Amino acid sequence: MKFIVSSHALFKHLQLIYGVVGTNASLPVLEDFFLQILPAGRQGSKEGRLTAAATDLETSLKINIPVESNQAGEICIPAKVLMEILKNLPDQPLTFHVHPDTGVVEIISDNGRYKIMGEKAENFPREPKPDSVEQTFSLSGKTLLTAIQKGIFAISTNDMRPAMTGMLFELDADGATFVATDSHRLVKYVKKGGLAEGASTLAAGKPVSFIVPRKPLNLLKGLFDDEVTIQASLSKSHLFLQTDAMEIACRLIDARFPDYRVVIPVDSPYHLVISRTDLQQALRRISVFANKATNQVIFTLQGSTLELSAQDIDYSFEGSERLSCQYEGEDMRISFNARFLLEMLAVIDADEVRFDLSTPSRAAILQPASQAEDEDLLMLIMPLMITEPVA
Amino acid sequence: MNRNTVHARPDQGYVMFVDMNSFFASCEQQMNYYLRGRPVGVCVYTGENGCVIAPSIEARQRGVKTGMRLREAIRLCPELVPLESRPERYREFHVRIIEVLRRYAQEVIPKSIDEAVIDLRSYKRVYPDLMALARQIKTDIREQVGEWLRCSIGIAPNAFLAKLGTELQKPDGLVMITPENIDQILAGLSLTDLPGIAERMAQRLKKGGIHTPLELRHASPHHLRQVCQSIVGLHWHYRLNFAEVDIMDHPYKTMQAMRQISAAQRQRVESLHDLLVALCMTLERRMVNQRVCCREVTVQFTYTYTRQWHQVIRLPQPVQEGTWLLQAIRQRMEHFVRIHHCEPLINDQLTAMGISVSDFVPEELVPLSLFEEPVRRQNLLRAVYDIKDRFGPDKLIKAVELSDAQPMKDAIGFGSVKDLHARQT
Repeated sequence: MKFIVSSHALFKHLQLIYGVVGTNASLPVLEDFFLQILPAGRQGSKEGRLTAAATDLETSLKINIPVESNQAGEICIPAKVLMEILKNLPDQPLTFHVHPDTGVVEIISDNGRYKIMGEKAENFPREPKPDSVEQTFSLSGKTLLTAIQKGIFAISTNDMRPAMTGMLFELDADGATFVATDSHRLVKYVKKGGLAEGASTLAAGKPVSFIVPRKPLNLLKGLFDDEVTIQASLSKSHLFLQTDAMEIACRLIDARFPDYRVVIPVDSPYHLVISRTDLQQALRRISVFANKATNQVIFTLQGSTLELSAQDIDYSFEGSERLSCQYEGEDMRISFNARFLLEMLAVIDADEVRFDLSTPSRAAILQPASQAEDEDLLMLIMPLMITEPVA
Repeated sequence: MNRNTVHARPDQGYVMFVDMNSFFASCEQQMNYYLRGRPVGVCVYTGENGCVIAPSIEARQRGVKTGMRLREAIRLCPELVPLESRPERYREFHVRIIEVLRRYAQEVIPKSIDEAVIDLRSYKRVYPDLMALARQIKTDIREQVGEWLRCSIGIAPNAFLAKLGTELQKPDGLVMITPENIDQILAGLSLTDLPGIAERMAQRLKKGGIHTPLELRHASPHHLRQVCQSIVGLHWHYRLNFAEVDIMDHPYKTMQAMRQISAAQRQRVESLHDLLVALCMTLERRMVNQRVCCREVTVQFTYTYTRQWHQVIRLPQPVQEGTWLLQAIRQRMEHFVRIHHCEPLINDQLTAMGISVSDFVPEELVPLSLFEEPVRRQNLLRAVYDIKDRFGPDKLIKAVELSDAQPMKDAIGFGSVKDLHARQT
């Protein structure tokens, strides 16, 4: 088997799937890329096609790269070694010679010749097939990318609560809802609109909900652009997403997502509207003085003034700043983890943000002050207990 | 030549170190009249391979030493009465002794189950005669805690020298070290007579040209730092020149629960799983006492084939409950077995099991949760342990602790006593 490919193009494409490759894999073949050549003329393709795949048994990712080749074949190549070579090569055509009997892969560049021991392709785990598909739907690339960008930071890393280590997708004929939480904060992004708006299309019209783990969501960020429409199928245990350039299959989290609706406060009587950038900048400065374990910043609301303050008793650090804001409600003191707030503010596009507050120990709602009609972004953050004495 | 940089300032006051003599054995003799005056050896297990962890004064006089195998101890002293340790009872005596000391000064720092420091530096005018005070404390302990309990008391400008004072006269000693008599006292001692200097440290000091405690006292701090290659050298300089470096009562940095597993115990693998549960619950109790949650768990399993399984688990959020610790450890064990295709980690080759928790966060700084109420959970745990304290540890247990096996024995009474006092405050 032989094929010729641009080193730069190969590197760029393989980078997209390299994130799947594990480092401490139980099966050594999981540290390999699976490469399959489909020569020109086969399956109606005018040019040769290299399909590269990687898997960690939970997520399988496959991409297509155009190459020059007249011979079909497949092989597994150690991913790390191949990426190291490609990273350090200037852009040039590379010729791959694969000897299927011995598993030797020879790579010939302008000035060099490199030899890698590959592994038999049949040892590479087959990706799950969408055999028992329960539902198919299409999803706009823009919707999915926005949902990932808005919510991925809030996904929990706590393996002891598996349900929260992924993002909840709820799709119905009216649109799509995406929810992520780590139990201290929650992000809910709703994209309204049915078939016409192209937010999502449910083939069978039946609402579905499932939890997608963080890792495939992270990978998806770089795999397609806004314009793409993604074809999706859902089986009991897997989600399959497909575009012209890639295919991804990921195992869903088999757990019950906590009932997020009941924790969204419905009666928050106090409202604070403030410039997002002003608040972000002030928080960045004040959080320097916060205790490093808690990142606690206290919000003191009085009239139309918001005072941010923080202190680290261990180092005798303290800082405070005053910001003007629009506030409707009684004077109050409430404290938040500054790091959490900064992460939340970073995914809001609007110039102003709105906090809905009730008491210093109940969840606060954070939303953009103005949103597009077909979008609804709502975030919750739990306050921290104020431990320092009132001045 | 004297290269001291720290000048003695006895006007700053004195501290008193109280060290109970043969504490566990004396408690046993106090509780059982017929043991008084007889050689007694308190052991964790009273098999012939068991270790004497606390010989009585009478047993010591016959040559029995701490750490000696029971077989050897009986060979030296055939009338020795071996007794299984009852740490819960010794802790009760400890608490009562501390209560007596606290009547004289609030600044009482329990250093271990049988030692405490009384910082009398703010009581110069209250107690002008410290020797008389020490004698009064000895009497009070005998009259109010137990007539068979004896203690050695050291009085000195710092806690280290006061502790040294207790070592100089045993049992029932009383020694005061002052700037006037310190050189005379140190002149009669060797380096290893100082508490905290063992053979290896003594060798290191001798290599640096320091052969006696007196030379150690008069060496320059710079030279001591070089010899010890750390700040420890400077601390020795301070200790022998009356500055205080030992009296601080540090908060916990880590809590550990561990058990050795006998050949018989490891035959029943189910009981080893129960042991893991018991260790996690021990740590839970200690964290509830101290009102902290941990963010890191370290697990160490030792096997007969001298291998160890050592893992550090970083917890995504602060944890206090033993069941959460257990879940994190089990998850890590399952992951390890899956990745390495090895046999279960809890197997019949296990010889010791140890779990420690660290990186503590005070309870009140644990972030609130949208779906749970950590404050209610913490209150519930505290209530559970209050009930256990009042009515007995087995009166209220979690379902996960249900087991046919014998409950884990509370074997050794040494170790930190901070928990005993935390629950009282």
